[in-house]
Amino acid sequence: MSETRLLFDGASRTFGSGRTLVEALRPTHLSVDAGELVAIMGPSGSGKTTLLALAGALDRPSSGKVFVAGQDLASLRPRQLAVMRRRTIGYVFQELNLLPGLTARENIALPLELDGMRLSQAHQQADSALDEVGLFDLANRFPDDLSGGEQQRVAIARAFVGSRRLLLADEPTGALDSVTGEVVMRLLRKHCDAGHTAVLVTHDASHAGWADRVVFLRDGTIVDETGASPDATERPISHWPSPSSP
Amino acid sequence: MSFWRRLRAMARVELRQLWRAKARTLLMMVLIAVPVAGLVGGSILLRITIATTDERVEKVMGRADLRCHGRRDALENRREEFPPNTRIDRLIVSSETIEVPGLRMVATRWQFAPPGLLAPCYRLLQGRSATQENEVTLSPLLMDLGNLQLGDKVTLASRGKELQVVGVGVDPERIHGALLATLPDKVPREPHQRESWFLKLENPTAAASLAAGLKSHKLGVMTAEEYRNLPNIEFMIILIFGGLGFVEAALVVAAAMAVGVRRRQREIGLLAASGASPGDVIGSILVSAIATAVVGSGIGMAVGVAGATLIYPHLDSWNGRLNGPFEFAPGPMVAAVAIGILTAVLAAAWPARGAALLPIRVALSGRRPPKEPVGWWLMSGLLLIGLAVSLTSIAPLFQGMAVVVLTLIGPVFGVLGFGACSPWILDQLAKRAAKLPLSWRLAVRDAGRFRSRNGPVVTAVLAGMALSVTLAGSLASIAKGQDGWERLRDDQLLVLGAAAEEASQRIAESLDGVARAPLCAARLGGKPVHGRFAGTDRRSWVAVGDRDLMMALGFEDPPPFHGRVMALQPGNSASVELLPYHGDKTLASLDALPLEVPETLREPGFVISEEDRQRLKLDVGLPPARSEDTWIVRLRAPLTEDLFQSARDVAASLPGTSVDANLLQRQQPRILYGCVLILSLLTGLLVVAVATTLSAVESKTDRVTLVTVGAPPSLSRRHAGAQAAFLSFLGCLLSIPAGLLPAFGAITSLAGIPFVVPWTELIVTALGLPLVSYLGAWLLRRPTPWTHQLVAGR
Repeated sequence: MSETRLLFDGASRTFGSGRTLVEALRPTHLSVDAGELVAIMGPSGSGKTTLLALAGALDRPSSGKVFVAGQDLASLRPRQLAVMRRRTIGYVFQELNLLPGLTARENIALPLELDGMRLSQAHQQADSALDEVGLFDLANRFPDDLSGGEQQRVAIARAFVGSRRLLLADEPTGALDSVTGEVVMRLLRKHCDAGHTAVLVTHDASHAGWADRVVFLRDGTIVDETGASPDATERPISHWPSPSSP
Repeated sequence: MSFWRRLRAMARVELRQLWRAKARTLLMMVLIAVPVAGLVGGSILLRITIATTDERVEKVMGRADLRCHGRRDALENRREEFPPNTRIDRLIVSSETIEVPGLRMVATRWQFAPPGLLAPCYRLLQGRSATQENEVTLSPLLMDLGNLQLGDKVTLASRGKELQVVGVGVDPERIHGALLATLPDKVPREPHQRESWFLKLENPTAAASLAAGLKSHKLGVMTAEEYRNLPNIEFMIILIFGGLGFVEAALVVAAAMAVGVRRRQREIGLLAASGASPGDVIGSILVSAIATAVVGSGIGMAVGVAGATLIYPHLDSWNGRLNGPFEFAPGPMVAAVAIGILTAVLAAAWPARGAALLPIRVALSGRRPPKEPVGWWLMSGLLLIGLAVSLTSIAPLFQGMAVVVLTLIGPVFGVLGFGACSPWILDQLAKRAAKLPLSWRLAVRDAGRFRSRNGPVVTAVLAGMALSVTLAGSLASIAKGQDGWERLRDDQLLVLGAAAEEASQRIAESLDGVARAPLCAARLGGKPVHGRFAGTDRRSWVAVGDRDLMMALGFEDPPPFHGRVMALQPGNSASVELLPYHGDKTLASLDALPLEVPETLREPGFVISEEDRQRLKLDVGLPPARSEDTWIVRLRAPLTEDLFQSARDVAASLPGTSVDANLLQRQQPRILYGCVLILSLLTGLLVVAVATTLSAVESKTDRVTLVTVGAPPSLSRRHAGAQAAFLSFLGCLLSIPAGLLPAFGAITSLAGIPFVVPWTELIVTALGLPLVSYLGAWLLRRPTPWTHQLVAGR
């Protein structure tokens, strides 16, 4: 039986109160296993980013629980959450993922450095990660000197550096052209095949096709959950499950 | 016409933007308002203090066209050069001791015949002027000290008879002074005694040529016209501080504007994409700067007027002058507002230019524009520093106003030059930050990335701190120069007055004294005898004393005299010549015993024994420039405030006795330096606080990234602290050469004073502000709220 890396046990998130109450995510049950690549799809405002923020310990649920690697995030103090983020969870955004004041190598080594690893050792691991994403030659470049695709590859390398096994990606290909986007997706797939876990928020059906499973969200609720077929990208969009269907 | 319509449309957007970014707009208004308030308030108070140049001249020159000063015989000898019908009024200034029952007070005595040309120089507050020989007018200080009323009697030590107090009067320039005024003594004065002559010429235009003639005879001469043209020190001070305030404001406003423009990069790109030309963009940003400055200047003017109104009732007691009625200074007020607006426009010009020249595609992308090269800044900085060094070097070669102008402009170029170098320095440091701890690495790299914004911040810090460095360097050098003239060591006390002997004994007993002795001078014909090493020019008076005096002067185990003169000054001759007060005729030549003086004293230069004094048939009397018995006491340890207070208590318990120590003479410069240092630190803190706040706003996305990679909450605080400390440290570090340069120039132009680097003050400067900045930023920055909203708001 495979290990559960991420578990939503009835977790919900609301903002505001009274008449201004917004239910960004209704009570949700979701489980992601090791080695799985799960794509989250849904229209704007459906709660995708909220779900990812809860999974990444960037926010706390209003009710229910979120478990990462078997650990209830609600039971952790801010300092322990920070430790969780640098040892277990990697995060990739659509853009502005990297600290512009650090080189590509330093950006990747950052979680290791924050975890107390010696700088030279952290840089060694960062170099390996850079080599893996094919950017070893750009190790000393600053983010402003990298293209969007290169920046995302550096961000993915950072998300998996060290012992981290869960990657949360919020539209990582949103700002990239299709070719570069495919390179990024291939990279994610490769990591998941090697035993890592990834949750990917995307609007792009072709990218969802790389996932083992696609979860559909609408108005804060999971409305469907399906394994993507190998030829998902070739299927007309109308054949996809209707977001409003139960 | 279409330009104005476009500008109106753009200005509307800008003005609404000002309202949207209220905090930043308010900050810019305050930055403009503060120097405007200072300049408006200062100019009003200046106007009240010195209403017009004519009044300023009148307070010193009276109604005279020319004032000359010198020995009476020298002045009399020049009388024939005065044009016919020249009116001459004399003023004799001397030191005088006033005695009232139970009290002796030392005061300055003016002898002149009122009413005359001197009338504006002496203001009667109560009663009338002295019109008879047995009448006197006293200043309020003397009236208070002596608990005197009009009609009371006082005794002048020099006359030995009583005079009746008939009025209360002051020197309008020094109303807190101890001053008394009488008619001139009828006793014939010695030819060598000094007098001031006030001359009213029939033809005032002849004053200049007469002055030139008198100056050639080494008399002190000043014409009313010359005094009128002297630089107004108060005005210069207001100008310096006001100018510095505006420079600081311009630099910080420029940084704030740069952040604002950067944050609105996409919006500006949209405006440009909608058809706005670069000129429109620049024009609209300048319009918003002007609008901000107008409101800020208005606030500043109101605060300045209110401040001056509040200060006015206390002004006389603060500046020690009789000030005029409250009146506005419309010219300087309008100038202050105009300078405030100009400051804002200049501050906005650079960011506006940057925004206008940004390619539309880059602007719309929201990405940081390509870095500007820093080599140009370095070259400009070095050029300005070169100019500063040149101006400072040539300033002593000029005279009058030119010296003042060059001395002021040199440091300004220096500050701007070091400031202009700062973007290059920030860039270089950012490239070498790889080995630093994370928070410091991020701070240094961020400072390098935002160098065009942080350069002005560093310049603003260095401008403020340079002032305190200049003062520290000047004061340390002057103090070192004065060491050679020190009248007393730190462990010595002078006890003065009628009961000086008894008081010195009590002080020596109660404060663990090593030795005490009377300070007496060898005299001839009533004048002090001087000594000098044979073949040299330097003269110093000769004390008469014994082993006790030598010990009191600082020698632990003085050798016996044996017919020799103890030389307390360094010299290279084996004999010392004793000379009369006037002339170079040698009275005697004695073998010299040069002694290693533990701390060089200004007085006396030589000591002879009582036996030698009698052998040489010299008299003994008070030391030069002293009118009462003087004893010197040396303590085992340096004098402290507490010990000095104890000595004062002992002296106060005996009639007409007082104590003096170096402690008293060193306090004022320290207080002045302390005030300037605190002012500089506060200014620096304000500037760094603004810079750190702006940086926090701009680097919000970086903070989110740090959260997602697992940075501990405290990293945000350490990062903010490092940012503040780094910028302030660089500013302080650059302020050291920028501040020492004018101090070096000023000190080296004063002959005989060595330039001293004030290491302690420099260390305080280099580390004080960075430490306080770090702590301040650390305390004020809350740990990052790691919330979903923060992520959503990226």
